Amino acid sequence: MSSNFVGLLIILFTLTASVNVIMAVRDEPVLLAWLNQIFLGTILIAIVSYLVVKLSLGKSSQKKGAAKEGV
Amino acid sequence: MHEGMLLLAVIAVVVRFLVNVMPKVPVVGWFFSNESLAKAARVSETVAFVAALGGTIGIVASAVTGTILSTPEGIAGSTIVSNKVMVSIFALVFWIDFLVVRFNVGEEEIWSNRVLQFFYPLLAVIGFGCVTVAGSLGGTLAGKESVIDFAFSILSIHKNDPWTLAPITELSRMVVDSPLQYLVNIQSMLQIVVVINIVIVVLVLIYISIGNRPKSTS
Repeated sequence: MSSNFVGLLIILFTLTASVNVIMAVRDEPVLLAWLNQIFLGTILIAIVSYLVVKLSLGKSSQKKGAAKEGV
Repeated sequence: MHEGMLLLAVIAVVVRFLVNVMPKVPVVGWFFSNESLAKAARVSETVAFVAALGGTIGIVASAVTGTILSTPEGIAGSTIVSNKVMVSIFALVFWIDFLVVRFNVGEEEIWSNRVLQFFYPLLAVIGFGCVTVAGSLGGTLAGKESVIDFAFSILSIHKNDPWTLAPITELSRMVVDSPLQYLVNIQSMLQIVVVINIVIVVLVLIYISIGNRPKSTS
């Protein structure tokens, strides 16, 4: 994993944790569920996108490497 | 303003996608020369990038003005407003994702890759879909009818209900409905979630520190 992506995940998880603490103190389960949904959705989009890009680039670099070896 | 820019970005990226795919169709050669297709590719790529950048800045600007004009109680109190905020945030995430992919991967790699040439326009289309839905909810809030209201009625989506993302909701329900709830109260469960988050952050920090350690030259 690149450190930029890991940094993004840290920020998102920390925000989720902070929101959970605040909402637990305020005792607002509906708002908590809504905010958690936003944070988890964002994390999900980021992870899926990262994996698609990483896997597809990995495949293309493997092909390029194989082509170079062939030459 | 930002919706117009994002529409332009979507049109441009779709044109760029078609230009990428069209040379593989034999009939296209009868109507378009290779030079005209190359020119269209160059122009549409630039337009898509600039319009997406402007539109993303526009979404952030509209979020800032919306936050200034409304109160936290106003956002939490109305389900339509909550849905609109949630969909707008997802739209922003998709468009930032679009720009990040463009910045990190680069134009040539995107359009020469078999998967990314579909994934990149897909991000734009989904992002624009979210913007359109947010705009429709905004129209309902203003007391007007939306052009895409028929789509909501066909899909049996009610704007007044709180929208949930099925997999995430199921995941939360699995945690909340688990036998754990009889052992601990909801406050304790939230504390457990916080502790798990902190553990994840610590593990990730350890992983980074190991990954960034300079390699020995011996």
